[in-house]
Amino acid sequence: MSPGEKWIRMVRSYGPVADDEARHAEQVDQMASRYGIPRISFPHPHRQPLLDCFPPDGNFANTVLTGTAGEGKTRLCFELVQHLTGTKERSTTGLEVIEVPTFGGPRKVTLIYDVSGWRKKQKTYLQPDQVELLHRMARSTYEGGSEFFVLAVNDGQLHALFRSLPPDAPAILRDFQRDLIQLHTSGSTAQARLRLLNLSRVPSAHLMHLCLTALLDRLEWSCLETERNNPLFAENSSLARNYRTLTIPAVRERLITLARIADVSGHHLPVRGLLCLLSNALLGHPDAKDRVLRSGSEAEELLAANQAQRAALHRTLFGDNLTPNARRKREVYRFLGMLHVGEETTNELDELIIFGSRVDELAAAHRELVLPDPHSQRNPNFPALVRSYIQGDLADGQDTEEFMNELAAERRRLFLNATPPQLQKFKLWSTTVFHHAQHYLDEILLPLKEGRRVHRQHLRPLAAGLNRVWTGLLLADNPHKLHLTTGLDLTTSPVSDISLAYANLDADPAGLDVCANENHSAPDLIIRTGGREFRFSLTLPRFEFLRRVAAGAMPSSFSREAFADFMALKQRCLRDLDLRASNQLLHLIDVSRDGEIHERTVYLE
Amino acid sequence: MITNADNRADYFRTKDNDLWVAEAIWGHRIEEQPATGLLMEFLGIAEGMHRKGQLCDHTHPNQDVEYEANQSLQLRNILFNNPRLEEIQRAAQGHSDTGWTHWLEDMNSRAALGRLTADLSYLRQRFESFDEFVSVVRLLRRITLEPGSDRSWTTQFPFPIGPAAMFEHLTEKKDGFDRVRIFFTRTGELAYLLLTRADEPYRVELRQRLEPLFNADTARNRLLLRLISSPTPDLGPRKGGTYLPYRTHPACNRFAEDLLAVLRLNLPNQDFIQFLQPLLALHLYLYGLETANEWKGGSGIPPLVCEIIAPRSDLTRKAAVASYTGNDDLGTLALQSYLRREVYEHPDLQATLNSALDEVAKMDRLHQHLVTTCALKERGEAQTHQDLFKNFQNRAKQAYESGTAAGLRSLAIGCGLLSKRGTNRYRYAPTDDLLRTLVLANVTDPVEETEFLRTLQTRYSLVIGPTEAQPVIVEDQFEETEFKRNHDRLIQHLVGMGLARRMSDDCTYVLNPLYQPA
Repeated sequence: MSPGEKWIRMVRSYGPVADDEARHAEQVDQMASRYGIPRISFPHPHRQPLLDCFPPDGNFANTVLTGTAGEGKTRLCFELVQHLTGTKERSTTGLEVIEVPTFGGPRKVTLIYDVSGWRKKQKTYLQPDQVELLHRMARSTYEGGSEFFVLAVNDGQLHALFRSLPPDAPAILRDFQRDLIQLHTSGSTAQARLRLLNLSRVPSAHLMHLCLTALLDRLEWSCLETERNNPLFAENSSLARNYRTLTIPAVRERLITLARIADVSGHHLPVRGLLCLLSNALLGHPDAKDRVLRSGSEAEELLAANQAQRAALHRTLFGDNLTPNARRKREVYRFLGMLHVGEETTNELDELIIFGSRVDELAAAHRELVLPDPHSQRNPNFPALVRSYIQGDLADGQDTEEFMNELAAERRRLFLNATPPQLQKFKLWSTTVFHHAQHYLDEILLPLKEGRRVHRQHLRPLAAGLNRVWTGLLLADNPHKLHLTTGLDLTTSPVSDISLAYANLDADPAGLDVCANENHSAPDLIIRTGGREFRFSLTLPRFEFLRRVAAGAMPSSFSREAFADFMALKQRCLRDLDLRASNQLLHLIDVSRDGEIHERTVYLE
Repeated sequence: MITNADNRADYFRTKDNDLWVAEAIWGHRIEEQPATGLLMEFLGIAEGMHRKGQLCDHTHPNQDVEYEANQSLQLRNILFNNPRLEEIQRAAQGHSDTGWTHWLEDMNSRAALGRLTADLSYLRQRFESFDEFVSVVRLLRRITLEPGSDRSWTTQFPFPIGPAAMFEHLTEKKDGFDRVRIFFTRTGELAYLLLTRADEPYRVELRQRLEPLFNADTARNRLLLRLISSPTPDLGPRKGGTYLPYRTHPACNRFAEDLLAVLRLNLPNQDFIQFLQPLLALHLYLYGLETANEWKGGSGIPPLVCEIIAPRSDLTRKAAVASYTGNDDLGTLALQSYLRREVYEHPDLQATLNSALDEVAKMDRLHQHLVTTCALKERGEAQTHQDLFKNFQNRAKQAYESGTAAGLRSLAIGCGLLSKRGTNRYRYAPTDDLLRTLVLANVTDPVEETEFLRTLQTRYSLVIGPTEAQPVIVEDQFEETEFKRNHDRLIQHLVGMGLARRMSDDCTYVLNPLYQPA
């Protein structure tokens, strides 16, 4: 096997063909050792925080590492052992006990690398010795001592572990369970002698950046130059084209942006998921067996078929080459599918794609956005399909469907390859479900990241959206106040015109503000009135909903779930701000045709 | 066992119905009732009992729980029997005296106020102007429950912002009103009785937390009282007669626990009522189902396999249809079981039927027995005593189907559990509103999704994911992938509603954003 082929085998092993996730790390290590190629890796962002739990002065903390399978928990444990003892040897039983000398005296640290292995696939309860070990960990947490523990466990297994405690387990273990789950759900990390490091809390955007670098910057890719005679690495192979496209800075940046979108919409993309995504993006091919390229005669056949655009990056990135089942099984594809990239559009964009080459006014834009295709990713048949469409020659439903699918793919290609200025200029986020993502990234996230405030003019559309959805009235869209109102019957009444209070956007401190949240990628939206504050997470879906409502969408018809979410937020807001109507009178608000508010009073007695 | 003789007692009044079988099993009674009727009847009896100082007091099956409900006739006429108000206001063109004069004249000639005076001129002292009066009426009309419904004015209710708005249903007759049990069918009262058989600590806390709803001194209630001449609303004659056969029943505590969980959230104003509605209907339905299952010889609530609405028909839909159909049949089986155990197998009757008496005598004896045990009025034709009994069973079954069965179905639809959405057959398919109510009632601190699903199964027998489905579904209707998708759809809905947060590795926490730890 040539060096390039060994490398591709290594990359392929991270892809969607490997089904047995639990043995994946083991298999990759074996392959790395067999081929003499280092596995794909990067310094984990949680390495230092883990080492900080075991400082030289001996003030250790019991540490639980959680996160999904394949976040690197086991490797971090090995690195910790090496750091504390200097040895590289590792236990094969999933359990290791080390003695660590510190300035505060000797310490004993027990590491449980993999709870599922440790639990020996019990159907009922944990074994007594396993219960005893957890008991010792709990006692160390609450009662002190010189014995400490490290437990590496997946998010889901954290619960399964405590579910398999026998009913007569000591009470201190139930306290331990409660505190761990509290740390886990609240996103905080520390409590006395207990630390919880959730490796999945590293933002997906950061992980995407690390994975891209770790995968694409490898010297092994020189095979694309040195082994061109191999059909896998030929100039016209989909792998070569996809690799070159993926190394374009705008495309890499787009992927990091997509991962950032995941972070702010409540999705987490784990390391293994990202590596699977990238491996499939490079090597995926709908016509290959297993849907992923491999070296050998198959690569030769595929190259000869000259259909590399069927495996273009804008298709394989979204898993088009995989079966629906394979996509459904993986969070990263479920997330990307949820974005519906390419399935939405604007008139302007479709005009550009379909008529751009025929209409003078559109020619410049067409040349700028649509024509560039340095690595032949575009479907060469697409112009013919467009011609048929324009001439009304699409014969039947099947032809039309093919055209629509290719049009969506073309939008996806543009979305993926556009530079950031082009993304903005041609409003390419309109091809996804988050039309206002650009505003979110530029007006909300960017200033906060740079330590600046979100500009008031960018808060007004949010206030406008909240006003409309919470009052049910068609209020003006450039408001200076956020109106907090209730219905006479329910606080969540579709028309809530009894005014309780308002938050003044122009006050100091501002009645409406957005601030970073150190535990989440999405910032908090804060409402201030009467000396009190209410905050909720301004995720991208919520932002999108508010912006669309501010622009005129009917709240309850656009997204019922988002509407219900905002009604619940309103309920909590009114309760937490302790806003009640007066006992003597009600202030009713009325809206005139131009969206201006008029108040009138109804006396209760 | 709820069906044990020592857990039951017979009805305390004369049984006026044509026959008394379904009533002996489920009580008097469960019958089809619009959601508004169920809610207002429940609030009406609770308010009446609160006024007597007996809110959530313990009751017995053989106790006639009587109360006097508000009628609030003036309020209702002003809000709902007042078609010319706007027209008169427009004609008065801001002249208060003109408006009052014409309007009072109109109401005097038309309003139906029973034994109350038709003179509403007390209102002039209550409002600064006729226009102010009209704006208050408009404000209150805006909160009419189910405003689009084409009901008579005596069947219209404003949202219960205060006890004055918790009045009983009436039907107009020639010179007054009737209280025929058609909109208020006793089902709402039955729900109240369930709560009165819950454990004492629950009842004590319920009383404490429900009392603010019935406080006559709130600003909102005073707004209503402005339209009523007396300091308190007019009352109807005393009523009672609703019957819950069981001293204890698991439905009682189950219902109380859910109501308390939502009450403890301290929602603002009357927001609790938004969740009271689905909980009333859900718990009555589960009570009906569990009772039927116990009489049939089973135990607890039978499984309710739920489809979280899928884009196309799959095995979960088929299983959900089958689950509902099976549960729907339980009532008939319970009926048969009851008739066999409690009626037909009576030793004295059996002795007669097995004796050497002639057929006519046997039929007479059987008929007499049915009159005594089942309040049978009309005998019916038959040639043999077996036919007589079979005919009787059929009649009991028909009465059950048009009465209790229809009532249970409407409860399941009303709470958002049962629907035909996307298909042409009824199946269990909980709406988002019902899911939200279940989260609020069952989740305090964040709970992991599998634990939440287990709670739904343990408390309500709701089956959504593969782990809960596999043991209860026949093998050829169970497919793990499809139930896993059903589970995923549930999580997706909850996440979209802000009621769940995804961690990684298929681990999701279900949250109650309204929960405030103490």
